[in-house]
Amino acid sequence: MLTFDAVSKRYGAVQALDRVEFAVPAGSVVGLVGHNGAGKTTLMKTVTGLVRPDSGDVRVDGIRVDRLGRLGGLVGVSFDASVLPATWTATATVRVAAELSGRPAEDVPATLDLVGLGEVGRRRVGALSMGMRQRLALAVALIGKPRLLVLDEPTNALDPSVVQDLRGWIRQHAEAGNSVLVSSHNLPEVEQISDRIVVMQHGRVMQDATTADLLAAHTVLVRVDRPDVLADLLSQRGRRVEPEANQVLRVFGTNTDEVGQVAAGCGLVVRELYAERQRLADVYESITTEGAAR
Amino acid sequence: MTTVATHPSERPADTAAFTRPVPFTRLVAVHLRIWPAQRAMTAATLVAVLIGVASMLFTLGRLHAGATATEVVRQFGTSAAAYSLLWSAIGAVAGAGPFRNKWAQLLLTFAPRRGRWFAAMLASVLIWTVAAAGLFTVLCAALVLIRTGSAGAATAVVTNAGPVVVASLFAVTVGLVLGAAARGVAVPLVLAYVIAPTLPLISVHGVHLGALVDLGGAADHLAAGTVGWHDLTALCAWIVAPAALALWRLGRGA
Repeated sequence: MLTFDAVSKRYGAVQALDRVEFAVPAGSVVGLVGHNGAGKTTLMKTVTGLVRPDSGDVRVDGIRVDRLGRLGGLVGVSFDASVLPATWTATATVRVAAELSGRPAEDVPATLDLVGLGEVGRRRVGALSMGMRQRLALAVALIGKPRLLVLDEPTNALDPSVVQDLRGWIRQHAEAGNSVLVSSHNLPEVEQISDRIVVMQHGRVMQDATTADLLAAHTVLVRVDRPDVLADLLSQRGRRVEPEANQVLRVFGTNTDEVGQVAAGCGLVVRELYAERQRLADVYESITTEGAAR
Repeated sequence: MTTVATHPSERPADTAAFTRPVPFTRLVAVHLRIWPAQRAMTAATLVAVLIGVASMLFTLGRLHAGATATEVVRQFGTSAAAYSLLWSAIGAVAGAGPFRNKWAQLLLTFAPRRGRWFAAMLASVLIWTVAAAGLFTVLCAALVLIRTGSAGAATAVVTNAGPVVVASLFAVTVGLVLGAAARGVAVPLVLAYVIAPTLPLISVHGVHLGALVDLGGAADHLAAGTVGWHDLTALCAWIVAPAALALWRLGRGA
């Protein structure tokens, strides 16, 4: 759905984007993480042509972004809420977006309801709280019913209940066959909603992997009726095994398939078996520390 | 956000359909919805109309009872000059507004063709200007009718509104391109109201270079329909060059 192909952008001495390459497939949510200044917002702005790359291609459904003449219905973008004009009402703001997307004005109240702003449609943007403005930015992105959603820090300043609903909505949107590119500093949130995670640092992609692969720790926890037997068998296969309490073994450098097969092969009763997952925060820390050291 | 519903996307058969630009008329219509929400724009327009009408009231008060249509039209011309005074400032507010208030970014995320967007913004401001000139003319004609009781004199005001429209269109265009080039209001105001009136005085070794950049002269000649080559250089200096700068800056970023 969305592809970045060797996208580079320089602002004076600063290399904002350095040959960025990755894709956001249809029906998936891709999380973009990185420190401030990593190039996330610049990259997202290339999707709508607000930033033009010095080199490389950004394509939506195979079409170069600079060839697109209208984005409403194809790409929905929710950037910094400060681009919303303070003197407009919430309804007027979404109506302008609807008109440019070719959507009927009747869709405006439903979209405001969707983001929980149905009651404040007549209020001026300048009189809305930061959280409400953020939701309004989201309504502007959603009104065109886009096939690709680009969300820059969408949950900033939102109430926890709204964040929860938004996560559910993003997942549903992707499951309906659409694509979502979402950047956030909230790593647990990215971990929860993303199918793939892209880690950026100094304008470069440091890691691009499925969430499962990225967070896989290659460590398995297994609870069996005879842990000593399983520990011996796995040790013979070169696996490091550490016994835990309650007949649990922690096995390193393996996966659930291997441990399950070994246990089943000698008739052991497996009561629990699961792969341990790393936290994104830890993986991110290690990737960016390694990147900084290079 | 208490309930969550999903927007199932409506999938156009062909993504290539998105290479067609947003219709120009829709872009213009969107701007015509935006301008009334810009307080500075609405307030300045109302002030311009009020100044013009107040001037007309004042000049009508000095007319004798049996004033001819020609005399009334002359007074209307004086009021029109007062009315046109603010239009460079209104243009500057309009030209700088999308960048100062950042709504250019909002619009460009839906309609990414920047030159087209800029042209639509200009077209909408010109429509706004014509509408305001129409309002001013109608109000003046009504005043004339009330003061003189002559339908002929009131009609003469309406039929002589052309120069007012042209002068305000010219002034607003200059202001808009300067505002969009500078992305602010202060510089265009200084250029239009301080620099422009003094430039025509420039003379080097007896050569009147100031005539080449005489904005007021060009406006007058344009309104009178007597445009000369000096006016073309002035148009280049005050409209074409700032418009090119505005488009170049727009191409680099909104």
